[in-house]
Amino acid sequence: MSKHTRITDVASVLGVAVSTTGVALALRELVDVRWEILVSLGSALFAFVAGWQSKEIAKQAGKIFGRRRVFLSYAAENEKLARQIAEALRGVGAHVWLDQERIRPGENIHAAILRGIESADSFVAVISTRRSAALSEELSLAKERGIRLIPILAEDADIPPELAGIQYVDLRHPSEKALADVVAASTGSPA
Amino acid sequence: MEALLISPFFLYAMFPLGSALLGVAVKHATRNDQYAKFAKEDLAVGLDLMLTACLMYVLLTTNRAVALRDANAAIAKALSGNPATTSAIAELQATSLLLSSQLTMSGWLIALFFLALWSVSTVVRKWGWKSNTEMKPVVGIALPLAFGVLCLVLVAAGAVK
Repeated sequence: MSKHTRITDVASVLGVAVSTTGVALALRELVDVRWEILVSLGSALFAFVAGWQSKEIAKQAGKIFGRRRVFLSYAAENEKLARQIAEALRGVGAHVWLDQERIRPGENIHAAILRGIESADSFVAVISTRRSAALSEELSLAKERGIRLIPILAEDADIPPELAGIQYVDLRHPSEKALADVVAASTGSPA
Repeated sequence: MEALLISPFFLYAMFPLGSALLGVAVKHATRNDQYAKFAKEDLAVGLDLMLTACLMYVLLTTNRAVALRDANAAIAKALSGNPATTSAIAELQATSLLLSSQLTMSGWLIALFFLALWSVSTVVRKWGWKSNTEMKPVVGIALPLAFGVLCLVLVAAGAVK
């Protein structure tokens, strides 16, 4: 560690200590009624606890206020169907993760996919004979995070073993009803 | 309404915590990436609150400086009056003294605010991050947030005293 870094480290910790003491003394000077001090300290304590539990608060806030987030996994050949599904999902207000829209040139693909799956509430996998190379990995990431998996059968193809036992939506002959079923399954809104 | 606005509950609880909540809401609403979930990093508004408190206190100090100037001018005017009204002069002098002492303290407090801003931001930068994108809950979020709320409480207390 360089000398400059050490000096900065010590100075910043000292600075926090000095400013905390200074703020406390100034408050004591300005706020001379005991229960006002208690209210002030209570507010600061509340803020501290809220920050400490920020992860849990963020999780609950996301559930209450957030719109559904759907990660869409598909092979390049199924792009047209994937976009139809994305449009239907966006029509009901869901946020959709599509690699063509989300991964920018120069960006690490794996990291972007990981971020997309981590934020997702549902994982929609478009299954066809030509399977996306990353599908197995994406499915295992989604399963690890306990995300709802929704298989969509786009062609006469075998369901991957990771999706065995999960009811799929049959989109071999796309219809309004089938798309509505996908939307309902992904977002929890009525079909 | 005025009873609520000057009550300690409003000044030392509702105002600072409401400001924090508003800061979080604005930060979340103005995010570019709407797909990403509400994350704990969205609650990291402590430094913003500290900066706001610092600027509010500077403005409060400016107001006091103007009030002191006006009080001194009023004293001069009252002294030059014939006859000089001693009770009014005494009152104005008391006001002038109070403002003067508040301004003296203000200088130190503003310096303290800047010290707090620099030191807390340095501590967060050095020890507040778990990774490039994830903050530590205590050092990265809770500590600056508590500090930010305390700074706002200080400004609120300074404004009413």
